[in-house]
Amino acid sequence: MDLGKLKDDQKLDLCRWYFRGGFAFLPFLWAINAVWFFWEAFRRNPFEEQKLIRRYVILSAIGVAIWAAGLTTWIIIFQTNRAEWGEFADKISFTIPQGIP
Amino acid sequence: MTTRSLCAMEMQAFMIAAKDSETCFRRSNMINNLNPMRFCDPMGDRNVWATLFARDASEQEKSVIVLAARLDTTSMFEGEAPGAVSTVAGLVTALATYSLLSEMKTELSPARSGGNVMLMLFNGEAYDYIGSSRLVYDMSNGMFPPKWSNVPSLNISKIRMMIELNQLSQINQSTGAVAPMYLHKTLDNPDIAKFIQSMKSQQADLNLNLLDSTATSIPPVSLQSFVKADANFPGVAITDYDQSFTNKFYHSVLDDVKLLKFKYSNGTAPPSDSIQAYLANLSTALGRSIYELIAQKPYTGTTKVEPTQMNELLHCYLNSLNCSLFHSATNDDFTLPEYPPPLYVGVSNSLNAVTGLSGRLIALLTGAETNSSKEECKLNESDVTHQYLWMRGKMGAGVCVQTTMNYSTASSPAFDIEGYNWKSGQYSTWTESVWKGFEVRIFLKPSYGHEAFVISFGSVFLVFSFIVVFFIYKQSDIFFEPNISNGGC
Repeated sequence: MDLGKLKDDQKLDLCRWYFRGGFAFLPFLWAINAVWFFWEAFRRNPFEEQKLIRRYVILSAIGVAIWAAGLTTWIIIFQTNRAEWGEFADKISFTIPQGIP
Repeated sequence: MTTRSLCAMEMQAFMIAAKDSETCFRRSNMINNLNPMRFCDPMGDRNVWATLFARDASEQEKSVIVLAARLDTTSMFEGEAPGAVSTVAGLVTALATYSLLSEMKTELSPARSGGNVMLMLFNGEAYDYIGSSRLVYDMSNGMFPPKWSNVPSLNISKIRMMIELNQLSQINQSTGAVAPMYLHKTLDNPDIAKFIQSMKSQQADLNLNLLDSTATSIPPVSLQSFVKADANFPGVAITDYDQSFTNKFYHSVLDDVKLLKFKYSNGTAPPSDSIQAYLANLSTALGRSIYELIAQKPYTGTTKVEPTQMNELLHCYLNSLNCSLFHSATNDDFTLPEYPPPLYVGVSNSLNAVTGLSGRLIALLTGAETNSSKEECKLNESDVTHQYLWMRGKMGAGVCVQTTMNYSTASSPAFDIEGYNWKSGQYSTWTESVWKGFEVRIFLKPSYGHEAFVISFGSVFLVFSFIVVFFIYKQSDIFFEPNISNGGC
């Protein structure tokens, strides 16, 4: 999809839908939203919808940051403690690594 | 002259399981996703058993004498577990004794008054008594023999005495004298005293040297599983050691023919000081003592175990599976290899050749020949207490043998009990990790100078190629003609 071919209100719609979609546990939608519309929100000369687009981009970026912090914490805890947790860890694992405790 | 390594070797021996049996067994039975993984397999195989007389509901308490031996051993080498002293010696003595008792059946039958002899070959004993602990567990749950076999289930109270043959050798022999054998008893009772007395009374005739063990508890033999279940279990273990093993290569790859000092006597009778003669004498004494226990009077016949039979039995288990006894005990469906049977118990879903062959050997030596043809020679609905096996037989012409021989599972109850406490140490929990193929690769290693040259030449060439491409890009109008699209071609 080429943003250059869209009208400004269509861009706002797209940005808005990506932002709303990210609440369905889809942080990558927010990540894409923040990166894709960055130029539109901050680098282009002001246009009518830019204020709203800017808000969605900032909120998406904040959402991604929260998700990243949360996932990193959980992943670190799980990876370092999986062997010690024994049966509980096995129950919440989808694949259990071979050859190591 | 360089001192660097010229070759490098990479070995892959990946084991899928890790940590301990409880973990790998739990993970193997977990259904997490659509791709179930097996991490380890429980170890085990089958026990082999047979009864001299077919058992029926009229069996009394304390009427069965169990003659037991091990069927397995272990070592650190794959496929090499000879177990000559630790296993084979006791095993062939038990087989020969049982075979002798079978020959005495005509005299024994009218005098037995309900008594019986059960031959029991335990598998997996090297790994915390897998076979014997499983048997005790099955007996306490009325599952041995299984209900469908129509044979009354055996429980511990029906066992009058268990005689176990453990490591038997002449290692302890001082020059000129007869190697001593030690009798370890679990407790003192009149039956055991009678048995020991009967054995010792034959020492002179059969050139044996039987001594009471001075140890305060029984050695690590299968009797341990029975004593664990019943502290007053009557049993005697016959071994070649008193308080500590004489076998320096117990559970080792070096526990082989040389240690047992077995030399196959091809055609001639084995010498009188050979292990064949020694074990033959021991079997004869055992057979006669057991006869005396059951018939309540001494054996007055002349049947004995001949050293030539012991010679053949030892040859089968120690030298080559392709021996005359196994040949007679099998049919054309079997191919007998030339090497001796490795006695490592392995995993329970993979059955060992030696278990089936031992069972067939028992059928050959003690079973009854029938007139059935090969097609009719199978389990008979009207007689579920016996097995029917087609084999070449002593004459080699093919015969259907009827036998009480059967197998029983030798796999630890720990894997079958729901919610078993793995930390309790009550049953064996040995498992074998599932392993991927064993691979070795050998590489020729270049010298350090050679490796350094290759990487520096490569890096320089990389940088050089970037420079060349950049140069060509900058001067591209000189190198390439401008594209004139005039609709030609």
